Amino acid sequence: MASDEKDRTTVLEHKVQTLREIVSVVTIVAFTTLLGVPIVSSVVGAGTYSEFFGAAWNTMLLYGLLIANAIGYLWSEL
Amino acid sequence: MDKKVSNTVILVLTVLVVVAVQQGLLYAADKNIGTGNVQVIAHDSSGDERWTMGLIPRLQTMTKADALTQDMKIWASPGDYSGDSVMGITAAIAAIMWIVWLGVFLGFPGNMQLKKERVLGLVGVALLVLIFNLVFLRAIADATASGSVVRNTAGHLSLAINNSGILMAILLHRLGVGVKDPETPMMPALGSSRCDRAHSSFYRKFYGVLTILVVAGLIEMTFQLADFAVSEVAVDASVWLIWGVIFIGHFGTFPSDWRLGKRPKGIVIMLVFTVLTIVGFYIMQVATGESIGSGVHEARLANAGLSENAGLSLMLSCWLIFWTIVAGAAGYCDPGQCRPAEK
Repeated sequence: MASDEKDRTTVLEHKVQTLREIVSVVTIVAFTTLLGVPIVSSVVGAGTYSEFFGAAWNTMLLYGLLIANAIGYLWSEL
Repeated sequence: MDKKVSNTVILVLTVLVVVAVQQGLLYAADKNIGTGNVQVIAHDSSGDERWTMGLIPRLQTMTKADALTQDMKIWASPGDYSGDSVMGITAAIAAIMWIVWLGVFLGFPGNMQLKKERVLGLVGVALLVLIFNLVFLRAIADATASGSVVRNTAGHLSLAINNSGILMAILLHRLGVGVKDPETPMMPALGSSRCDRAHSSFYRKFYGVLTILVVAGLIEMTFQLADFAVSEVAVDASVWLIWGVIFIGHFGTFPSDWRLGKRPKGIVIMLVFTVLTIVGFYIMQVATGESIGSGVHEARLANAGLSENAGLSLMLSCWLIFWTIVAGAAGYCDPGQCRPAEK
């Protein structure tokens, strides 16, 4: 490979890597929101809160944590 | 952080002290309200709620009966800040947040690299948590018709702070804030050695996560049937699922990985310290006459119409997460010598 061609490949690899990272974070946020919205809305809609764990936002956070961890696990370097 | 046992001991002790201070301050805020009193959002002369910058409420304390007759919006009742009736669980979530902040994100103690970037990242996380929580409290305050704003938002204020703290730290960590070293991944089993790389493939890990879904479901059903869990299955099961993912991220996906290197010792450490912690909280519960609740064999839970052991499932899952992270920080997730890859 000619050297300028090699440089172009490296630049391209870096760009792809950056895009992959952005997509991974966007996926985490999107899934967190997607899972959070129905859980929060259903709980708020029902209007019943438990004595010890107001389920609304806390449940959303817990599922957000689950998704963030699971995607972190699956999306690790192989 | 250098993976030495002495460093891990310092880390765990620091985390526990910080947790004690945090929960102590919130407990003092609870006690400050006083039994029978509530904190309400103050009204101005025209009868509107007073908010500083639209986000920070002006609070005043009055008796609950007065608050109800004057139709004031209740901000917090005693116990809403620290969650003293289930202190074992709220302290566990706080401990997980602080070990993620200090141990994983900051790399404390020992040889800390990129210190300036990491401290700045942590300040960013803290600011995000603050703004996130203020906005949510404000939104829930507008939607609150009965009960207190803090409880309607997240059960207890400490849970809101700590859960969002963990989430923000993971997201910023994922974005690469303060972490440029591929040799220190967030989950020790992943890409930390050539051995793991030889063993892991996407499908293997995918089947691992599916297995965890089934196993966590079985664990949750067992605890629900035994009446050892809170009735919100979604809350209770999610923590078991999180622990499952963190466990396979630390010790490897399948039981054949768990036998490698130092990992059996790590699993023993995780189990033993979890049991010790729960026993410790139970002793604290007895010693303080249930001022501090452990969630296990607790009369306050029974008086609230729950099983007296309703906190056991959350106590186990939350403290298992904490001690799994500790075992990873101490280097007990190291698979050691590599064997040929399985196909």
